[in-house]
Order: sequence, then C-alpha cells, then structure tokens
Amino acid sequence: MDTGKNRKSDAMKLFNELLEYKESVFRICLGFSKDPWDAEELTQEVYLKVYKKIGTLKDPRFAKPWLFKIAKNLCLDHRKKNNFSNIFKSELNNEPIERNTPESIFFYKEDLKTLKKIVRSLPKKLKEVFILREYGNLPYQEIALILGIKMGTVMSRLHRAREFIVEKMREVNHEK
Amino acid sequence: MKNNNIEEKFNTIKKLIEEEKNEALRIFRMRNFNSRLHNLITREFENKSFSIFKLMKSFSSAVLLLFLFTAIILAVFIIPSFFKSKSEGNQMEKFFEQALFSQESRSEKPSILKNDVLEIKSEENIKENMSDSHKDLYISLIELFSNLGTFSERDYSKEKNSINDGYKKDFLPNLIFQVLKIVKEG
Repeated sequence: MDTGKNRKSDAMKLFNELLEYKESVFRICLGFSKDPWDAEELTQEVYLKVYKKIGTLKDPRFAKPWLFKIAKNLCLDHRKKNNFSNIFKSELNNEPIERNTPESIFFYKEDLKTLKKIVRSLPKKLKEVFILREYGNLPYQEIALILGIKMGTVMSRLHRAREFIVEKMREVNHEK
Repeated sequence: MKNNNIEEKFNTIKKLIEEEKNEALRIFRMRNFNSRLHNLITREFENKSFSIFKLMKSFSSAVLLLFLFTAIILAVFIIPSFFKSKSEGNQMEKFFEQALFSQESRSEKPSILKNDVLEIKSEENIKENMSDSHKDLYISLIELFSNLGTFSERDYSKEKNSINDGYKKDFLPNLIFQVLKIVKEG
C-alpha cells in the first residue's frame, strides 16, 4: 500500500520535473505545427500522454529524452492526421513587436510561411533532427539519444537539412 | 568553403526561426499553460471514473447476458427433459388409470345389468308403462292360466273385473310372482 503511494508520489514528482521543459516541448511542437495555438495544443497532448505513461518509465534518468521523443512522435502523428491542406489557413496573428510597419510585417509573414513550408517538405529523418536542434535547442548528444542514432549522424543530417532549406529558400526568392 | 557559405546563408533563416520562436513563446507564457494542463488532467480523470462506471455497466450487462445464457440452457436442455420424465410419468399414470377403469367397468357391467333388470321388474315401471294392449295381453294370459286350472273361476272374474274397472295396486306384481312361481314349479 505504502509502496504504491510512494510510487505515485515519485511519478508525480517526476512529472512536475518534466513540466519544467514545457517551453522546449512547445518549441519542438512549434517546429512541427502551423502556428503557436496548434503548438500549444500539441504540448498539452504531449504532457497528457506523459502523465498517463509515466508509470511505464523504467529509468527516471532518461525522462527528458523520453519526453522529447513523445513530443516528436506525437507531432509526426499529428502531421499525418492533419495534412498540409489547411496549414496556412489561419494566418499568424503573433506579429513581432519589433516589426511595426505593415511592410515589414508582410515580409516577415511571407518569409515565415515559406520557411515553414520548406521545413515541412523536408524528408522525415532530416526534419526531426532539424526541428529538435533549431526549434528545441537540444544538444547533439540529446538528439542522438532521442532518435537512437549516432551524434555524427545527427550532425550530418542537420547539415543536409540546412542545405536543403537554404537551397529551397533561394529558389523561392529567385522565383519572386 | 561550401559549408561556410551555407552556414552564412542559414543565419538569416535562423534569425527568422528565432523570431518565430520568441513570439510564439511570448504568447505561450501568457496563456498559463500549467493551470490549463491541470484542468485537462482533472477532466481526463473524470472521464476515467466515467469509464469505470461504463466498465461496471458493461460488467452488469455481462452478468445479465450470463443469466440469459443460463436461462436459455435451462429452457433448451433441462426443462424439456424434466417435462419428458413427467409426461412419461403421466403416461404410466394413464396406463394404470385405463387398466383400473377397464377393471372397474368389467366389475360394474353385471351391476348395470342387474339394475336394468330391477328397473324392468319394478312394480312402478310395470304399472306406469302398461298400455291397453298390455292389459289385453295380460287378461289373455289370465284366461290361459284359468284354462290350465290354476286360477278358479271366481279368481278369474275377480281379476278381470279389477283390471277393467281400474288398476288394482298390488295386483300386477303379485300376478307376475304367481306366474313365475308356476313356471318354475311347472
């Protein structure tokens, strides 16, 4: 009985610890999703899943990579369900504070729209590395742990992803 | 050289990503994520309790199904066999009843005949059912007996008169008795 209570309190403690990474989770979700609201919903789903599954976590030392892995998988699943048809349906309302002129806001929106489109068009392996690194701000080692790949693979995939994005952005700008 | 070129070009893109992240985080921080998540978890627990209720409901349904299944088993296999044995018992009963009835009927037959004879012989019956033709026959019979010398002339005229004048109450049974006695002795 006491063991059960202790286990539950340990799980709750661990959950609260994982809740500290909510902004990292949110950023990762933002990389995969169309807007901050969508990203927030995904973050909630991630923590709900973590809350339900926390009892299955064998080693609390791997709780953080486990959390990000859940976030990554959930976002990928979410993307499968909600395809790109309505990705840019809702325009970003979060206008940057420093962009005050209507022109700057317009160009920011356009660039962001293009970037997000390109990020989404990345191959899955490149995309997950790119988002975990650029949106999640996670170190290479952690990304390697989350994805179950070598650190060198993470670095090479990240480079290929950046190359892909730069190329695509140049193509779009050149077309414009 | 090429790598450096890509990194340089990517810096512009990185700035764009950073801007997006910062702005999104600003909104995220304003929206009080923790309390929203807490509400969501509480709601999920309520759903869980509801699901337990549903489970209980389904358990009761399962019990009901089991009960129905048992009832069907009883109806299909056990009750008919019970009725079968009972009907067999009824058949036996019927058989014994029939046997007894036939025995009774056999024992009753003589009594029925006896009753019939008694009915025929009864005085009342003869009196009531005696028609004129019977009376004539009866007179003829007395005449015959008188001719045979059984009856005296006086008796004959007396009986004849009594029949013609009106029916004498005890005459007929006495007469029959007499006749039967004569026949027996004769």
